[in-house]
Amino acid sequence: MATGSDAGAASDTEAMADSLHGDLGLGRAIEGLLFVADRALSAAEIAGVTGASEPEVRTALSELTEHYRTRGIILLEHRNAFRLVSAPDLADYCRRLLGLDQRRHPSSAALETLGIVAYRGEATRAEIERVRGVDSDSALATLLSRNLIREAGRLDAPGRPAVFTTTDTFLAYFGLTSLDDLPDLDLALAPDNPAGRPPNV
Amino acid sequence: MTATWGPAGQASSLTGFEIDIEDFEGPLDLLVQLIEKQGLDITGVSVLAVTDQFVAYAHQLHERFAEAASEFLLVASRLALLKSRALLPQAEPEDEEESADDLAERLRIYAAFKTVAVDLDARLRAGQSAFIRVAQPSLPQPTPEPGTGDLMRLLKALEGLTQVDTPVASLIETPTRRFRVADKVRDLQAMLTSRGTLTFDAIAASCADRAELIATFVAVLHLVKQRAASVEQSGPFGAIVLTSTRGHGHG
Repeated sequence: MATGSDAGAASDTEAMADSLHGDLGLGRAIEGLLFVADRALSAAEIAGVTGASEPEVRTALSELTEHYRTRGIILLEHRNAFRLVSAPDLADYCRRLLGLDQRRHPSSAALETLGIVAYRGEATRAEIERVRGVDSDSALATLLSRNLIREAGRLDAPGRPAVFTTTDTFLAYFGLTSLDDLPDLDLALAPDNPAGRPPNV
Repeated sequence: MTATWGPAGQASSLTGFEIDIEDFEGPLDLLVQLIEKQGLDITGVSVLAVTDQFVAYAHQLHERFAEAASEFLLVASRLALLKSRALLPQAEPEDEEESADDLAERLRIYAAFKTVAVDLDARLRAGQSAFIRVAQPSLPQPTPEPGTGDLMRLLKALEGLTQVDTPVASLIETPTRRFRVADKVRDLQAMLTSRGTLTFDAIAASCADRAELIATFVAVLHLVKQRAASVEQSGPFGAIVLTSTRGHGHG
């Protein structure tokens, strides 16, 4: 904020924020942003663009989530990022429009692997194989090729193994609106995730 | 692992259990199923209770599918060790070794994730996916059906290809030029090597007359058949692109 042009941009954003609090409405602005975005947007990102505070954005997002509950599009939340998707009960129409075949379902091996990644938040191949007791290479390859998981980074350990995490395609594919929609597991799965909840961060 | 199991539908009738090889994968999966078929909860005691069945199964599996069975034999030997310890309590287990309770805990976690997999599968069967607006693939292009195409359009395309061959009354009888497919193959390969890709339109435009065009076309087919080049067309009536399968610039 040291230079004049920065100060100018800041006051522009403030002016925009004022108009959002007026007639425009923050929810409508967020709706427009989500519509044009080609990826999920975080609350912080929306706050940066609109000049509204992050708590305000969060409130508006949860209002939008409610608003969309009965509509043809819904608001999907994955690890604090939001995007608009079609309502899951319209899947048949969407599939027909997009010319998609009735999907071949992933194998139970792939689904087990996906479940481990989703509930742990992050998992390496070795951690997955430790749980499943079998080689999980091809299950991981299937999930990666379907963009249901992605490589989130590398572990700072010998061999620098890849760490996998779920994508928002994962939620959309299973018709979930948030990781909170996954059922609770009554297990202490990991020291940092004692409740058996998928971490939504 | 599933792919290495061998023929489908092979079943074991050991100790009264009918277990289809297709129905499980991996030793933990088998252990969970053995325990559940006995109507037991997963505990260290029930793990040891199914040891004999598991070991017998692992041996039978080993005879049939040696490669896939190694993980089973590993768990079987572990189970046999744990059971012998349980029968001879004076044998002190070493600290770092897995106990039956540890194995039960692993099984409990694995069984929990199996329920997650079942839940996810049920969601897919319900068929309710959400779709992201920019999701691939894009809207499909209607494919023109054979027979409903426009004949004039086809003729025009043919005319465009062969217009270089406009018959001109020739005063002097010139010898017909002959083109050899083998020469064209060599020419195309040279062009592909330097450029990597060529469009069929560009290739056609470089031909002086119909005879050369035909020889060149056959050469393209030859290259594709030899897998020296691949052809791709992005959509109906789109440009046909010829790509070298051997890379370019070095060969």
